[in-house]
Amino acid sequence: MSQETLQDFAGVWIGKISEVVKTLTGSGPIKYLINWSRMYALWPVHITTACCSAEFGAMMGPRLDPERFGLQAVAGGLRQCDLLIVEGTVTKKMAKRLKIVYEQMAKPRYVIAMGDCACSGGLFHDSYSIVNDVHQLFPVDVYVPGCPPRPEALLSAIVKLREKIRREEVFA
Amino acid sequence: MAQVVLSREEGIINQLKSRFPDVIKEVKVDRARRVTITFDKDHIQELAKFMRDEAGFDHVIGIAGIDYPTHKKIEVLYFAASFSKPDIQDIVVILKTELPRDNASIASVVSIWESAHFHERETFEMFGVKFEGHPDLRKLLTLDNWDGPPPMLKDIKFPEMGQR
Repeated sequence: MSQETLQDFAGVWIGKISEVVKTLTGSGPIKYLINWSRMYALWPVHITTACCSAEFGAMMGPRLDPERFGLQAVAGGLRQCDLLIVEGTVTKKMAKRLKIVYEQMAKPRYVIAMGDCACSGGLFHDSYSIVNDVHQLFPVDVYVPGCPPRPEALLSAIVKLREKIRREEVFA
Repeated sequence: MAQVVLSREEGIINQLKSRFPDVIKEVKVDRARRVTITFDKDHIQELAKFMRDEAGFDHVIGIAGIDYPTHKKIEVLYFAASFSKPDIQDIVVILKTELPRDNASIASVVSIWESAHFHERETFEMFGVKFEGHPDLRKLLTLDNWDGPPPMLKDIKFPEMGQR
C-alpha cells in the first residue's frame, strides 16, 4: 500500500471515529455526565468594569452561597475560568481589555451581561464613550437587567445558565 | 431651630471684597461651609495667589466646566480648599467665572495650585477651554485615537451612537 492511500485510509477512519464519538457523547448518559460536570464547575472571571461588582460581591458571599449552584470562588488564573460576568458599564476603552479577557478564557465559555448598562447601555445609552450592548463584542448567554440587579437576580441568572448548559450539545 | 453661624464664611468674603472690590462681581453663601464667588476672568491669577498665600486655600479639589449654549457662555468653576489651616479645612470656596463660548480661554493656575494640572487638562478636553500657560495641555481621558470635538459641549451630537 502506498503512502497516499494509507493517509486516505487513516483519514477516513479518523473521520468515522470522530463521528462515532460525537454520536456517543451527543446523547444519553455521557452527554448528561459531561454537561453535569460543566454545570457544577463554573469558574467566574472577576473583571470589574463598573459599579455592579458590588452586587456581584454580595452574591458571592456566604449569605446566598452560590457554590450550591456550582459557581466556584473567584480565584485562579484566567485560562482556567469559563464564566465571564460583565459587571456593569463597558466603556470603549474597557471593551478592548474585556475582549482580550474573553479570548483567553477556556472553552466552552459562557457570558452573563449584568446590569442595564451591559444589556443595552442603560443610563449611559448613546453616550460617546460607551459600548451600548456587550453582544457587539462576544455572544452573551444570559442578560440580567436592573440598575444594579439584586444579588438574587444574578443568582437566578446562574440557575438559568445551568439550565442552558444542561441542554446544550457537547461538541457544538 | 439652631441659628447657623456663618462667621468664617463672612470673614473670607469680607477679606476678598476689601482686597478685590472691582474683580468680584457677586458673592453668595450657598449654605454653611460653601461659598460661591463670581469674578472677572482676567484676574484669575491674582485671585488664586491671594487665596493661596493669604486666605490659606492651598489646593483645588476640582475644576469644572458648565456649557450654556443659549447664553453663549461657558462657566469655569474652581473648587478651592485647604489642608494647612485647621480652622478652614471644611470650607470649600467655589470661584466661578464666565468665558465666551467661541474661543474660550483663561490663564492657567498650575503655577499657583499644582493640583490644578489634571483638572485643567480634563476641562480642556471635555469643553475645549484653553488654559494659557499650562505646561502640558493634552487630552486626558478619551480614547487614544480620539480626534472629535469636545464631547461635553451641548450642541455636539454623535449620530453614530444614535444621538439626535
